[in-house]
Amino acid sequence: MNIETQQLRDIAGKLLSGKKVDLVIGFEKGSTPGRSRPVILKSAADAARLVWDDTCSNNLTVYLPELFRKKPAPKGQPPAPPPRIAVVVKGCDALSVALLVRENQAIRQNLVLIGVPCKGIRDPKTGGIMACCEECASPVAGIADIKIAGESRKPSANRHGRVRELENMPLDQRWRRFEEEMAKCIRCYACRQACPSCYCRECFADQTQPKWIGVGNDPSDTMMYQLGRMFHMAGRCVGCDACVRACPMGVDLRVFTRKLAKDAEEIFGHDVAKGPECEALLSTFSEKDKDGFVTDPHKKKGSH
Amino acid sequence: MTDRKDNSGKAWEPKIVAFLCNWCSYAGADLAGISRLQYPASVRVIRVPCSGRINPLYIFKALQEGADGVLVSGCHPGDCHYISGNLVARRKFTLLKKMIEHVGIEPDRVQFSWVSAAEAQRFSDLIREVTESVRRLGPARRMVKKV
Repeated sequence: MNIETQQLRDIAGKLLSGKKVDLVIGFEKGSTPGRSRPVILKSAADAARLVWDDTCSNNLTVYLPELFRKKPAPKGQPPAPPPRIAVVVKGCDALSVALLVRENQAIRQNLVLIGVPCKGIRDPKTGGIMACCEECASPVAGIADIKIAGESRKPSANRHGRVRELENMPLDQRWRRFEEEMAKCIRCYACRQACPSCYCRECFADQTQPKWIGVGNDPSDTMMYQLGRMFHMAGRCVGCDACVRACPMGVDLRVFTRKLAKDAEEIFGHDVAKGPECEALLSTFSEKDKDGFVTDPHKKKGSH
Repeated sequence: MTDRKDNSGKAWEPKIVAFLCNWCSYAGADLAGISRLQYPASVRVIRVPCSGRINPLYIFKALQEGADGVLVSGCHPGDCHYISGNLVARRKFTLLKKMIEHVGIEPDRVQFSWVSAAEAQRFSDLIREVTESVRRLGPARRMVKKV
C-alpha cells in the first residue's frame, strides 16, 4: 500500500468520524486484479477500503448532480438539507467540479475536495498511459481543499495532438474515419452515463417529441447521437476520457470531443482548464466574435 | 453533372433547406418575391423567429433526411429583433461549421448568412451562390438515413 492510500484513509476516517461530511466518494479495490472501482462511504470504519493508484480511472464527480438534486419532502416536513460530500479528485475531476458548480449542479460549500497526485492513469486495454493523460493540461487539482502530498505529471505541451492528427487528413479520409468509428457504436449510452457533464434529466437522445434519434441501427442515427452529444459538450468537456473508458466497443471518442474544445480555446479563448474563472461558452457572446463562417454573396470566397 | 439522376429518373436538382429568421431574412426573401427577382427554385424555406433559435440538431436532421444543403440566415449582428439572438448564435455557428468539416461532411453543404429585410437582391444572389456550390458537390450521400 502506498503512502497516498494511507493518507487518504486517515483523512476520510477523520472527516467521517468528525461528522464533517455525510459521504466520502473514493476508489476501492476492484473485483478483478489491476482494477479499482468507485465506492461511496458513510461510516469511518469503511475508510480502510479506500485506495489510490494508477488504476483509479473514473471521474467520481459524475455522482454529484444526482446527490445534490433536491428531493421532494414528505408532506408537512421541511425539505432535507443538501448532503456534505467529500470527493477524491484528480486534476481533470476538479475541472468537472468547477463546471458543475458553475452550472448549479453542485454546491461548493458542501464539497470537500481531496486532491490526489496523478502521474497518469493506466489504460486497462493496453497497459500504457491513457491518451487523455498524455495531453493533460491540468494534472493538479488546484481547487482542492485537502491536497495529498505527492508528485503529479507535468502539464502537457501537446494538448490537442490527436485532434490535430485528424485535422491534417483530407476531407474524405476524415469521413471514412468517422464512419469507421461510428460503425463500432452500439448506442449503449455508456459514454453519456459516465460523463459528469451529461446530467440532463431527459436526454435529447431519449426524447420522443421531437424524435431526434431513430431507434434502428441506421448509421446516420448513431452519427446524429454522437454529433448531438459532442455539441452539447462544446466548452463543457474537461477531457477526462471517462466516456472513452466506459465505451465497450472502443470507439475513439477523443478525436471528436476535443475538437470543439480546441476550437473554443483557439477562437474564443475559452479554456475549461482555467477552472472557476472560466465562463460558459455558448450562453455568452462577445462583440468581437468573428463572422468568418458567413457566406457573403458579394464577396469573393476565400478567408474563413 | 447533367447526367445525375434522382430516384424518379429526372435530372438531379439540389434540395436546400433554408432556416430564415422571421424579422430579417424571411422578410428579405419575401421582398425578393414581391420584386419578381428570379432565383433557383431549389430552396425550401422554414421560418424561425430568430437565428438564435436554431438548434444544431435541426441542421443535422435536415442532412439526415436527405437535404443536399442547409442554409441558415439571420439579421445582421447588431440588428437582431431580439437584441442578441444572432450574437449568441454566432458562436454556435462558428463551432458547428468547424465540427461538420471535422467529421468529413463537405463544408459547403451547411452555410450561414446575414440578410436584412431590405436586401432582396442580396438574398437572391445568396440563393444562386449556395445552389451552385451545392450543385458542384452533388447529391448528399453522407449522413443520409437509408430507410
